[in-house]
Amino acid sequence: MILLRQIATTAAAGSLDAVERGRDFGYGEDFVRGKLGSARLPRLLPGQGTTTLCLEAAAKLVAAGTDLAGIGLVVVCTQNPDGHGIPHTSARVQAALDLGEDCACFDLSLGCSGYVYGLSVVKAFMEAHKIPRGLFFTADPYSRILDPEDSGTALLFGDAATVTLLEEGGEGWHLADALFATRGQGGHALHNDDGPLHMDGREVFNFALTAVPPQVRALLSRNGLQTHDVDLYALHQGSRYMVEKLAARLGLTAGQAPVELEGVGNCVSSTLPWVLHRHLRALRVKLAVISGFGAGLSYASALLRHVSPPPTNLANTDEQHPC
Amino acid sequence: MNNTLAELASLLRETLPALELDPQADARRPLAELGVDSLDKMSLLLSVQETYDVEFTPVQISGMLTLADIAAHLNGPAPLPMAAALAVAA
Repeated sequence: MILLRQIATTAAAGSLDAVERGRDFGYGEDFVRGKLGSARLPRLLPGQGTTTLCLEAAAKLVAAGTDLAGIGLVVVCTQNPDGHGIPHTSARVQAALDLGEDCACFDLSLGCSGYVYGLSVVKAFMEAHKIPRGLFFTADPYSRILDPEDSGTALLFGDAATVTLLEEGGEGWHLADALFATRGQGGHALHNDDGPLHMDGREVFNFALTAVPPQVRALLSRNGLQTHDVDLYALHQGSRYMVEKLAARLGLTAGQAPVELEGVGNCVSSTLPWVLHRHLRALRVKLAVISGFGAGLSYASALLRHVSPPPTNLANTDEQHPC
Repeated sequence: MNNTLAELASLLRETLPALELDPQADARRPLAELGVDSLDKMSLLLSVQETYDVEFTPVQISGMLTLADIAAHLNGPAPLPMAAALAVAA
């Protein structure tokens, strides 16, 4: 069984003072911190890019004790690849990490639903082709496409990356079920057809509040679960306001649906692993729901179930702690 | 009109539970003056759309600065059934 074993996260080294910039747009500090969610937003520095963010995340994974030997798959979810997209970011990462040639590499182009899609694709690919170890990166530095004068987007997004180690066996979290959906006719609400990102905030808000709760309830229902059975709901961190409104519609407590925006903002496909990294272990989570939604308009929700190693493995002191 | 204002005030309190609001006295005060920011207004209007099964166009929304403005859209000829509004938007 392929399991989510460990996650590492990183944020770009530069930063935008969102409170200060918010004043230019007429936003008070309470609005920036309390409604949007972060007083500081990480920004790429010169020389940083999607690949370097991935490498920084990988370095943190290694620093946490992961050996990258035997990695047979690298997948990067991004809509902002380096250069003009050729070669693909996953191949750049594979080369920089010197992972060896027996390593499948491909990119996924998805926004804020990308982590759910990616986990499912990576897991299925590894199972289908007997690949025991794989890395799934999320890295989407939206600052490259933001219009700094657009008050609707300039203070939301942060540049960050994550890497998730998936492995056969051991202790970790199993992707037990997932639901995927697309409201393509609403795709105009979030696009960069002419270069910079444009977002119709009201349409995206209405989409999220009306589409996501029924999907999450359907996921719970077909797995025989009630809302309170799930320890953690990692909801896409579009903004603090969005997370809190979604949690309210789902009848969740603040503890069940944490907000993790401070210092990072909405980091697109990285928000879900960002939340998981900080809460899966801390809360000793047995069951988690992850739900991502955004550009497309795409939305996807999945159920993660904790799996313990067989008793015979308990004596293995080299066993890594996941996440 | 008065009933609509009371219902709108109720929906607004669901969005902002701490808001002290007199539906009649505050009906024509700008929402921003009442402490309703742009996100709260989005949330209120979504509740209105779901409650009354209507869809507002961006132009209509930009003109909705007070609860009375919203009530006028609901009570007058302005609101479109959702299907019609979507057709117009398309």
